[in-house]
Amino acid sequence: MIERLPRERLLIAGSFLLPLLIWSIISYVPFVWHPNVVITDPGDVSWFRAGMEVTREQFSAETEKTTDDGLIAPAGERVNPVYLPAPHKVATAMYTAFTTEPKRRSEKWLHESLWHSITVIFWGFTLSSLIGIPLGVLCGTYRPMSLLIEPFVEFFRYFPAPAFGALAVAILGIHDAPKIAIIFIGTFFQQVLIVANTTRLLDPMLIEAAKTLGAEGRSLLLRVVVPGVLPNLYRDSRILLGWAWTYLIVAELIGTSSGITWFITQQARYKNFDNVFAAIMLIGLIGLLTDVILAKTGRRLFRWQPAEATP
Amino acid sequence: MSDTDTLIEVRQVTRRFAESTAIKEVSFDVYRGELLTVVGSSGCGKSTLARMMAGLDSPTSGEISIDGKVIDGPSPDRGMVFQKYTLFPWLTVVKNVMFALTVQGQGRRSAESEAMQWVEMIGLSDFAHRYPHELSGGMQQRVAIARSLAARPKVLLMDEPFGALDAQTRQKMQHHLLTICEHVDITVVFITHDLDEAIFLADRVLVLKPNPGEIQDIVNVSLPKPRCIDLQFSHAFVELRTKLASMIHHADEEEDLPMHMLTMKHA
Repeated sequence: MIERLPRERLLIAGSFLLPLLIWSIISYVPFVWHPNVVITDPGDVSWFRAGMEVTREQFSAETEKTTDDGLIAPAGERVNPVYLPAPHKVATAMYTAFTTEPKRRSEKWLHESLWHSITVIFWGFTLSSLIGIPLGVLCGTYRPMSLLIEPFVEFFRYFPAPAFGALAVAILGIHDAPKIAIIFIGTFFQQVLIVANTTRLLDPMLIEAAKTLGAEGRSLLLRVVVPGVLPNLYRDSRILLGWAWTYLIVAELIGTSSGITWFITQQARYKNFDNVFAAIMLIGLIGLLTDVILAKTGRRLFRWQPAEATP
Repeated sequence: MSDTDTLIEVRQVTRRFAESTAIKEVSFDVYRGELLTVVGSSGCGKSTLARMMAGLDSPTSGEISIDGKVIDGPSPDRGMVFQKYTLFPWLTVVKNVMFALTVQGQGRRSAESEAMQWVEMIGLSDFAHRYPHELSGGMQQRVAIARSLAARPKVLLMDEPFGALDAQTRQKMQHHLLTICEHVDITVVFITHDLDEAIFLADRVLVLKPNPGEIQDIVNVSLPKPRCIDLQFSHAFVELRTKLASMIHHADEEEDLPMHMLTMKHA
């Protein structure tokens, strides 16, 4: 177990608090940015309406014009554009999004959308891992296997996974299957190469030692290579899982839009940007939380590793 | 010695790499039950020789045979202890020692009790269920020896196994090894660049000269057994040491002289 010093804990907290601080300064300190003005009283400006948002330049031009003409000047408050809501608005949105009923009966609650996204990720990543990890380990262990598989995989991984969207829909229909396929394509080819490389990093002396002890072929693979690379494969998988989330957003847009992406696009259409931010942050939180849990589980699983070796 | 006493025959073995010849036409026998040390300065191909005996490397020409059978790959009848720590980090001490046994299909139970005896012999019973990273370097090498011996090899090849240890630990390890050899019927080929170590341990010392590695001489060590530290101050030991040192020095000089001149010129 890694014991963190108090100073290190402070820095870790700071890595989250610092961006939040910057966001708060931009949101709550008017003269930092606030490029727009929301009209509270239109005065004698014909095209201003209460609640309307105009740029600062427009507002000052109109104010000047009205005072010059001896008319009533408009009143307003400086605000940030609607697409940058303040932290407290996003926080409330995050709460209310879970508590408000969807607008239409056919629509889903936020937690249902989220859960749907998680299942899509889960299946895409699991299917990819079930094939990709064993294949990668074999490529990393046996040179002929590596020569047969890796060049094509190397080539294929440059195909952007979303490019297969239309094809996936044509073959697999409009529901979850093409989405899972996109995540699979996005993960699998990277996974094979990364796992193969990780496997090749195993200390060759361990293999030689095992050979002088009578291990060969299958016993060498299963009793030396696999346990030897397991902690590193676990670490690779954590990183790849993060990538899978980035493919999720594209995957969910193809066919019938679904999951958290559906929620985000829907809310953006209504200009509820606080909800959009809330949803994006939820994805971040889920990702971070899974990673922390996986890291802790990893330390439990691989107790045989010296503490400084665990990330 | 009669023929039946020969365990390993090395015949006209040459090992060439792309740029150099590590070992050139080397022939010698390893006798059953002896402890043969191989000394020489670095780059004389000692490790290559050990690796070829283990079957981890093969000669460019010539052959090595054990009990009359030509070596063509690694096998548990030739155990190897490396300079680098090679215990399996994911296995506890006792499971490391069990490795060869279970790989060969022995049941877990009997393998474990057999392994425990080895662990006991190397004096690490208290650490049987610890992982390698919790052990000191000396302890790890003791476990590595036990792990190799548990496979019941005909010969134990040791490639500078104590090279990474501090002087004091190294001396202790030499004692451990000799004690083990008293209790176990084993032949040992021990590679080292440390002359004291080579003489202290050996029944015979094989001196290699570098570039390409050729046999300079094979010297019998007729010092009394069991050996203790004080032996190193005895007249016989010092005399032998001087003899071997001058041998190696000589071989090195022939080799090094042009190099020195080269660096002089550069300077």
